[in-house]
Amino acid sequence: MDDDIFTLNRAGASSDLIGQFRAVIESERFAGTGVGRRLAAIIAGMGGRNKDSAVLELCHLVHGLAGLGVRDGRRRLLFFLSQRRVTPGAVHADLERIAGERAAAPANVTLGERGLVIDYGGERFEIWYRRMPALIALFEFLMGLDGGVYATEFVDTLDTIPVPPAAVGEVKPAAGRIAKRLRDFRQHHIAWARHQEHFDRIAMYFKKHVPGGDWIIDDNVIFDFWTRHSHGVKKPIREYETVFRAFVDLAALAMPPDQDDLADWEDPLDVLDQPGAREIGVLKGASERKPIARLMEHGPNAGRFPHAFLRLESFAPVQSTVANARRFGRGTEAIRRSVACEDAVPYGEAMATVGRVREHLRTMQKAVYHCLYGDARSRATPEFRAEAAAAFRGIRRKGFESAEPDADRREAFAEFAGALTRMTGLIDGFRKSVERRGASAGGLDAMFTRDRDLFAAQFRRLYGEPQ
Amino acid sequence: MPEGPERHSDPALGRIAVYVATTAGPVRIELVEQDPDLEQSMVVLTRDWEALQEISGRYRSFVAGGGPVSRAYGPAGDVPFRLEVSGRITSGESWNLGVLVAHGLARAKRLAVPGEPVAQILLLTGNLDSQLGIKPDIEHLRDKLDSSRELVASAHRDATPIVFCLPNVTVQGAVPDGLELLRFDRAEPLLDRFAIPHITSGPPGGDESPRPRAASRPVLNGMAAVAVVASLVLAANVIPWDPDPPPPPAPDAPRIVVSELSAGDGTTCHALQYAAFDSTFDLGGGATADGFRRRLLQPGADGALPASSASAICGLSITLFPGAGATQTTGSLEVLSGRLVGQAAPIRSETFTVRTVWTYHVPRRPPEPIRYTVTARSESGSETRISHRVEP
Amino acid sequence: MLRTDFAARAAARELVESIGSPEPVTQFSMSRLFAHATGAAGRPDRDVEAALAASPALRAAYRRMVEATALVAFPRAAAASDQPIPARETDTARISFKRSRQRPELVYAVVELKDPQASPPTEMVVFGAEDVPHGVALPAPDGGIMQLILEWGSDTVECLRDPNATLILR
Repeated sequence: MDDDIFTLNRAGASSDLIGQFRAVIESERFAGTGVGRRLAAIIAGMGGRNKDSAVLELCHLVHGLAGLGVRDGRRRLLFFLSQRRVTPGAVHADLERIAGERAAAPANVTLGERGLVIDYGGERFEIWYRRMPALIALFEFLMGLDGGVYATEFVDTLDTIPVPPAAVGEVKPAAGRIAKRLRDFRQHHIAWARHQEHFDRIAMYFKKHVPGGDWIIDDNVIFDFWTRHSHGVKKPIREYETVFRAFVDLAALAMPPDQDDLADWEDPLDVLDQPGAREIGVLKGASERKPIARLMEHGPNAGRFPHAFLRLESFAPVQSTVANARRFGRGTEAIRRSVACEDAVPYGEAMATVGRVREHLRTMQKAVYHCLYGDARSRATPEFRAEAAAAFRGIRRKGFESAEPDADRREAFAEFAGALTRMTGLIDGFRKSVERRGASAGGLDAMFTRDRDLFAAQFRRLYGEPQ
Repeated sequence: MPEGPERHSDPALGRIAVYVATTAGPVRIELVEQDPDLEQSMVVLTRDWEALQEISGRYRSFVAGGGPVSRAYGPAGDVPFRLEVSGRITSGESWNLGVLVAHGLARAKRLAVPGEPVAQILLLTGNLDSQLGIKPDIEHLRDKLDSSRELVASAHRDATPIVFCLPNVTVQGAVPDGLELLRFDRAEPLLDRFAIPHITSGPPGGDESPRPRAASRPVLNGMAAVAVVASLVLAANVIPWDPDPPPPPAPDAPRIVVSELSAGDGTTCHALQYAAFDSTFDLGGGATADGFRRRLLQPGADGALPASSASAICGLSITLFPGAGATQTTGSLEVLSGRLVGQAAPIRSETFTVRTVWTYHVPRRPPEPIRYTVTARSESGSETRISHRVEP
Repeated sequence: MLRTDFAARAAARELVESIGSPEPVTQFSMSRLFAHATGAAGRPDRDVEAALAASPALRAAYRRMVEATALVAFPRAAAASDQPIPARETDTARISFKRSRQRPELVYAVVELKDPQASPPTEMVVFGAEDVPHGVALPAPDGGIMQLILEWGSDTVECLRDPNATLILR
């Protein structure tokens, strides 16, 4: 059979684009910072009418830096390209240092608590520190466009941005030229037709099968679309995971901009991949990280579509197994078991595993708290402090050898503390969502049994009975 | 003891190859040439024309008016020299004697260049003072002898006489077979021994006493000599030859003091993060009010600070003192490799008017050495720089 | 608009999913190139050097970085010059070249720093055709003067003979 052109592969973006993107994001500068998602959103032009706003912000930042004394190419390149770790804190500290070096305070550029503030003669523009890592990544990405050919023109264009004081409109010409270049690049390096075809298929689905004209996305729609389009149509969409992702993307477009999940949700597991964090054994790979990996990746979307997500968790791996078994010529019995979903993890078991991991994360939270705050600076109740101390003593993992870690370790723990809280918060929200859904569907076991039969039937249609 | 008056067999008829003894093996002086298109005298590696900055500066003083070359052979004029060597000659001054001899032989057109037949090989080591005396202290003499074995063996194979000229010191251990040793207190007897004309010598074949002889024709007397030397110095804009250490820093130069901080009794390194640092701390050794032990790092003979060990210290305290009378001094710290905890960017720079203390803590197990430099520069331009290294 | 936004989201998602994929990353980030251009890496980056040798585009970016961060960036030389290699000058430094009449295979390059107190450069770099860099180590200055020898006929000298070649000291 023809290969599914909607399988998850890298053919939707050119190798140049992906290569340059990964070269920027996978460096130590940005590893584990979550900037990848933001940069991806900027490159792809998310944001509707505001798709070029990041470029404008970058130009404002260059203008603001000039106000702080960063006016020549050398200092500008040093700011944007020489930071070893690009985090909001590091960038803020660098700006403080730069501001401290200037002989006299500029008239209209100041460093506020949240960001750099530029006063354009009454019109105020603020660039938040937490936004700057994405702008720094954008700078680096733009400079490397087309393997570096654009670098000279890019730097020359930035040189045309006036130094303060200036009117806000004087920054826009440079931003316009850079944004046009990025648009051209985007147009040539992203397979828009392919993505738009996904959308057209979904639009046609709603037109044909959902009365009333409103596009309501829920668990059932996702499953229904998949069953209708995975078999017996021209260009079938075989992978359930592809459909899940497409509908999640579509659902996000219906959300208000400040709840734009793809741009703002940061996979908390990224923190574990930061330099320095890898030496600490917070989660064991197979038994602790893997069971929550998809949940952490999708974030709040998992709770928004709990049934669809449970299907993803249990049956997407099975579908992968079937595809690989057929591709690599595994035995008939292996294929039969996979098609029949005999090894699919029941929903109840999956949730129990998630619950166990959640308890482990809670223990980790307490142990990290004990290492960070000990007794001297703790404001917790004595009972909690005792629990935290006991949690630490009970841990036999790399990185938890001393209750008085050195400064670097403390820094890593401080990062973990935030990520652990987000993880437990996400899991708790997801569990509530699943409970509600299970309650309305006759319980998780019943849901799973029905779904297993449905998926097995569909897999038989897709892949046939093993001979 | 200086060697006896024996004269070596007829070196005046053949060319002599000159080598400077180094611990990495003998380095041949291949050519000594004046070139009017040079801006200033320099020492270069023949194979790729790399300027050897380690000794070029000292060489310029060496050949300038008032230096040993003019003292031995008279003023060379303003035309710069190009000294071409076969290998690196790094720190120290023991190249002096070999270069002096090479200059003399080149003037007499007897310096063998590569490819020419060689009647004799001279291997030399010796620091010269301002009066052409050869200083008795010589470092690494044993290593220099050992590393010359290959040259000695090669000379033997070619039946070329080879002589090692050195200061009047005792040589410990065995000398390579076939290597003759000649010791000297002063340069002039050496020059006489090999019939190298110099301005204190008579015509060749004259008195063979090892002592410096009165010139058979006076060069210049008293005040006139001083005046000539002074005018040459002024013309050449160089400091008169002086192999002693450089002068002390200008009085208004800023100072930089680095101390290691380590955990004292009753405290641990991690308390570093929470301690408030009082800039009035006593900089002496011993425990201080915050419980840290502070050890002042003293520069060695070469001016460098001793390396620290990350596992033994909590952090570093860097104190910058403005120059005397200076109203503003700019201090900067540049991390060249590794990372100090709390360091926001590779370069830190501040302007100050009073004593300033920077404190950094050091990761217990840094993945690579932490190398950094600190520079303090006063308004008048006086600059002090230190480099330091923290090993993992 | 919804269609376009959907496609943008899907494209962004694909980029995010490419992070950490098993295929090796063959391109170089500009920060890595910058570290090489400024010597911040502390040691030569052989992979970047190889990539520079193979990619004119990367060399163009590298040249721009080196120019922007140079201690001295000389302007184009005056077109009319009686010297085989034209001299160049900025307000902080002057570089001149003289071919030895005695040894015509040697060219003496002299860098004069107008402020002997300033941090001296340690390397001269000239960019030839297609931005190929040719670097030469500079000796420590003596009284604000740095002198070095180049070989007549070498790639470096041939580049320097072009008054339009980019020449910097860093």
